[in-house]
Amino acid sequence: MKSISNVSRLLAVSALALSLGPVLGGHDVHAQTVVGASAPLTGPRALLGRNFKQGVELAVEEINAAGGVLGKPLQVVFEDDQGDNPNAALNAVNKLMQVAKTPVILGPHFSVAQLATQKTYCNGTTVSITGATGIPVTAGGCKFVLRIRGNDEIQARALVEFARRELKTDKIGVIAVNDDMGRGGVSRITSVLESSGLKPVAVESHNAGDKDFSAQLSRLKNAGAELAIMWTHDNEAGLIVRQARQLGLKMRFAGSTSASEPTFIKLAGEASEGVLSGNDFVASNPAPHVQAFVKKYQAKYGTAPEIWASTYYDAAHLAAKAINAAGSSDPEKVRAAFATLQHDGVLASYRCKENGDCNHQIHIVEVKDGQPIVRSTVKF
Amino acid sequence: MATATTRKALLILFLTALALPPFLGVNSYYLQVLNLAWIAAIAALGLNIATGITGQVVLGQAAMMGIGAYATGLILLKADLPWWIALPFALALAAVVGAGLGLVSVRIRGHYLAITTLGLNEIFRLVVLNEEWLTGGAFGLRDIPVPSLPALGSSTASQLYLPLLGAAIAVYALTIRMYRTRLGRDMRAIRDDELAAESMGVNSRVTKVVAFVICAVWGALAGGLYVISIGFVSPNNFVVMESIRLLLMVVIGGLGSIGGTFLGAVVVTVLPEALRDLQLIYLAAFGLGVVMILLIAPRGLGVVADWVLAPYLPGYREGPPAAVAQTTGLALDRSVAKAAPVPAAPASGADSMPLLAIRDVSKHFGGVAALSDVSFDVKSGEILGVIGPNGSGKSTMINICSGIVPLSSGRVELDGRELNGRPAWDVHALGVSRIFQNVRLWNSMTVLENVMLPHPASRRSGLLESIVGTPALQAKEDEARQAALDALDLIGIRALADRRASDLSFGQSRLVELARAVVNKPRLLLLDEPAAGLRGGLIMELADILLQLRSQGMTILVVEHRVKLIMGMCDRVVVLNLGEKIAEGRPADVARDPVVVDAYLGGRIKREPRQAVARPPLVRERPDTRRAS
Repeated sequence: MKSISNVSRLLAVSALALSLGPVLGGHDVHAQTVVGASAPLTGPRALLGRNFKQGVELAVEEINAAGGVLGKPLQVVFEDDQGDNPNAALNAVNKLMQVAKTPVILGPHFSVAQLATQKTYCNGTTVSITGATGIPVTAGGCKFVLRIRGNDEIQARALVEFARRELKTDKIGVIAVNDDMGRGGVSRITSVLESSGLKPVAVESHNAGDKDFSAQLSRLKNAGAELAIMWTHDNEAGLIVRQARQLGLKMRFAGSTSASEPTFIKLAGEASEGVLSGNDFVASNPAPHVQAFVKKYQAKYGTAPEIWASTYYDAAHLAAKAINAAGSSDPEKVRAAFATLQHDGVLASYRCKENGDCNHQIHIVEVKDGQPIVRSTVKF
Repeated sequence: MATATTRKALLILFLTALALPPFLGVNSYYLQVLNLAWIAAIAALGLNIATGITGQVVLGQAAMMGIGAYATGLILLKADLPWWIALPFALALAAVVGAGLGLVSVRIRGHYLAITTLGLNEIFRLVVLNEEWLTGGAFGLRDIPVPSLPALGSSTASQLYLPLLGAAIAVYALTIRMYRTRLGRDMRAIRDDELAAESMGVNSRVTKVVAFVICAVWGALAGGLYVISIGFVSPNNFVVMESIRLLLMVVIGGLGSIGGTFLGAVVVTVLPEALRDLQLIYLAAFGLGVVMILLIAPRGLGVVADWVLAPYLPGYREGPPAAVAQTTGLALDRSVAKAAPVPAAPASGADSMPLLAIRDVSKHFGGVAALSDVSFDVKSGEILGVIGPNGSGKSTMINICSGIVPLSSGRVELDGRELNGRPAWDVHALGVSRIFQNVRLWNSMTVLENVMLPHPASRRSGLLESIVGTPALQAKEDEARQAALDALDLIGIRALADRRASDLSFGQSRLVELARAVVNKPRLLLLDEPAAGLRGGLIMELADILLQLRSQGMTILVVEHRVKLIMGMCDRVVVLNLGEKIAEGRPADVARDPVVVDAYLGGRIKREPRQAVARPPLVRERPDTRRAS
């Protein structure tokens, strides 16, 4: 009967598909120390995921050359969380926790992915080291998350105060992307301005992946903004300043981390000149360990490192250091080790507080001649 | 061919296998993935009801999930109420939204409805994203209390596994039950042929609203269960891609197949996770897997599911199919018909009130006057023939009488009641039935279901009754089934009862349509070219049937071309030409009327003498208006 033969064919195919799983998986925990990583390996943020992976792999090389973790080579297992997809993040983190049983997970990076997964890992199953900047990530009482970048409050406050002093203007407009990062930034900027008795002259938004911003830019112009703060991703930020230049707008631009990233500078071209931003990592930082990192990364991958690569390079080193200091891969002990850990990473010198914030500074950066130059370092 | 018992046993085996994992100590990651599959199965079923079964394309099911999730989450967080209060509230809210969407779908159809629902999905996401004071904005609602059932397992995933699986199975069982009854028939009729459904008494407005309400409620249930079991929800959970994912589940499972949707949901949720070890290419592999599945089973995995569930679905008969004599349609015992003399038309004097009064009816389609001031009566108990050349307005007249098309001016009264302005299903309820010029059967249903649908017992089944399945409903179903079998008997095609309507020959489907039109014993039967496609001998048998129907009290209005049929059967004849009535009277008189002859044969035309040389055959000198059929 035709449908029966169809059924048997179907069963054969699904059996084949499912059999691939166990064949390709498998991590030998006895011969290696395994740490997990949840990164956007696929989807619209896959480029950032690639940078994440490259930074981690560089760190793993260095760690293993220096003796590994707990006397064994370190292995990092990657799972895809597609960036800001809460379901994918849940599945990725679950798989790392329950199947690979990793004591530490690098990432998930996006704040919304962190908030989605905290319910599962904050009971002590694993420690998460993340570069998420949303305030709620460490404000929710989770004892097992460590944030190694300045949060939105630090970034927004430092940027707004510097920009007001430097540009001597109070007519500030905002344009942000419609996701967790953008909305988080908007609320932080608005509250920082309010604490000085100001309001933004206009608050505009756009969708991730948008290519045309003429509507938002013309509204900013009509509102009289002299400074426009962009809280969005690299591509979109680059397109915004380029389009503003094309439209002949005179306003200055400042932005979140993305406004000093290589992708932004490349896309914006000349329009990137003079754009201010807050960034945890600057490749031109003259400190010797930062320059060593930049040279090694450039030599290995052919591109300059940026915020994702550097953040998770530091995260991997921190994980290794903490596990070694704890002397075991028990998540509780590892977390306890962080309380007394001090490490000079390429982002900052880390000192972890009780709530998990480890990085209390931010660099204010200006793009000059296509290079991000540090204008000042603000410590909180 | 496996019996019903075998299939039921397979079903129980399958369900038991699904229920085993928590007891086998399976890793909580796998249990979590399966939990997400059960939740997705519920949402996808809602979508299948609206799209697969009722035929309304919905691309915004994720928004329904979102409404349920956010409503439940907000009530749990802000009002501090337990989940068994929060969830019903959320479902009630979703039902209201679904009803609104259903009313929208009455106006906006097809592709436009699809785009509208897509737009609504995005609007929902943006509203939730921006109203931070209520919904937590981009960071979502967090710290929603998750119920803990320690008796069922050690981790949340294993504790909630059986309740979620149970909820999914209950939802599916309820839907299958509803599918078998009048509600399911009405939905499928709308999908297969909405015009015919409306003409046969289906209130398409109400049915669509109900379909959307069920779609929304199942979607909201899935969303509510998600938020209860995960404890977190954000706008990113309900992006348009999630709606597409749900549609993918429905398509892989097979549009319209209930069991298939379950399999589709499991495949779409589990397969990407199973392929994770392929790292960067796992989603591409998943895409390839989907393509392979659809190549192997183009109608979806429902092929497998429907085979197992067949005893619970309509149209199932135990045992091998009964040997059906190759029937050309009519099996009337002609000797019986000959024995009883053909009853003459009941004496209808001038004083008897006409059953159908058509007064000065005009209909314009743009600049074209399809009917101009046509007036005639149809007397109770007579067979009236309406003839005329092509384009004379006969079908338009029938469409107006059955309520499908509104007239531009004039009146049509049935027993003194104005018909114009009533929707087709109300006209049907008043006792007017019709058949269509091109056969409009509901192809996915059996002949029996086709004929059962217009019967009053079926039409009177309440919506709630249909969903719950009371004994009273069963009695109505039996009554309708029996009446349908009797109608098929009358037409002589009882043997076709269990065949699918799409498997019939044209002549057979024409007869099924006739049975469908008479099952509710209408007072007025409108026939649009009933003999089209039937061979000569059958046409006279058709005339016998119509005469028999007339003797049972039915009044019949027949639009036809075949002169023989008209002469043999009609009491009176009305002739239309180019939208105007040009003659009325007894068949023999009308046939000799010079005006009628003129209309059919064309005016006296001068014919050019044919030349001996053969002309190029493709050149036509004047339109050929001679033949009527």
